[in-house]
Amino acid sequence: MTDKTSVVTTDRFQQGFTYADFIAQINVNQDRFAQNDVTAMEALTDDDGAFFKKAVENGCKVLVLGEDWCPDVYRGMPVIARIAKISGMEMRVFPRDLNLDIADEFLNNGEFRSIPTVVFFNADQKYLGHWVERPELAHKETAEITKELERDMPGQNEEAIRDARRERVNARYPAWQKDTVREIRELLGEKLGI
Amino acid sequence: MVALPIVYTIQGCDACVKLLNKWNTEGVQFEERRADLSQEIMDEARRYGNVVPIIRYPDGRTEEGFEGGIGCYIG
Repeated sequence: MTDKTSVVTTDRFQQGFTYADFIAQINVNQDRFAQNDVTAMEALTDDDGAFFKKAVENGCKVLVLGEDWCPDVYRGMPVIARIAKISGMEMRVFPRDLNLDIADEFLNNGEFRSIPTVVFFNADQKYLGHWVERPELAHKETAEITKELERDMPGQNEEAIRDARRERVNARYPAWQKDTVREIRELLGEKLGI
Repeated sequence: MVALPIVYTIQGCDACVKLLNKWNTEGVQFEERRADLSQEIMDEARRYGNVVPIIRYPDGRTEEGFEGGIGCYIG
C-alpha cells in the first residue's frame, strides 16, 4: 500500500467500531485488554500528548485491524486507544477476519495478515502510513527471553518453561507499549513533518 | 466410545486450517474446540500450550503448532 486508493473510504472508515464498542463485543480477553489499558495510561508522556494533538491538527485519524485472541492486539490496541483519547484522534477498529480486503492492503512482508495493523489517514482519507504487530524492542527481547529460558531452565518440563515465558514476557509489556508510542511518533513525525 | 484427539483452534489461523484440512483428507477423526469463541475454552487451551493449533491426544501427549511449530500465539 503506497499511493493507491485504499478500500477504506471515508464512509467505510466510519463503519468501524469505536474502541469501547469493539471491547463490548469481544469474546475473550476482556481482562487482558483492561490490564493493558491501565499500563497504556503510563506509556505516554505529556510531550507525546502534545505531539499527537499536533497530528490531529494535521487531520490525522487512525484505523486498527485486530482480533481479541491475540496478545499483540490486547497489548498494542490499548496504546492506540490512549493516543486517540488524549489527542482527540478519531479511531476506528475493524475485526481482521471480517475485513480481509483491508488486511490484504497492508500485508506484513507482503505475506502475512499480522495484527494489530495500525493505519493512519489524513482528513481526506489519504493514506499516511502504517505500523504492524509489535515494536522492534519486543522482537529483540522475545528472542532474548527464549535464550534466557534455555540457559535458566535446562531439562524442565514444557509447562514450567511456558509459565516462566509468560511471566517474563508479560513483565515487558509496559516497556513494549512505550516503544510502540516511540515508533508511531517516529512514523507520524516523518509523514506529517511535525 | 472412542476417545478422539482434541484440537484447539482459532478463526483466521492458517496453521489451524492446514492441520484440519490434512486430517480431513486423511480421515482422522477429532474434536475441535474454538478458543476464540469463549474465555473458558481459551483458558483451557492456555493450560496446554500457547501456539494454536494445540493438539491433545488421548494418550496425554500434547503438540503445538502445525508441522514444525508454525501457528498463532495466544499468550
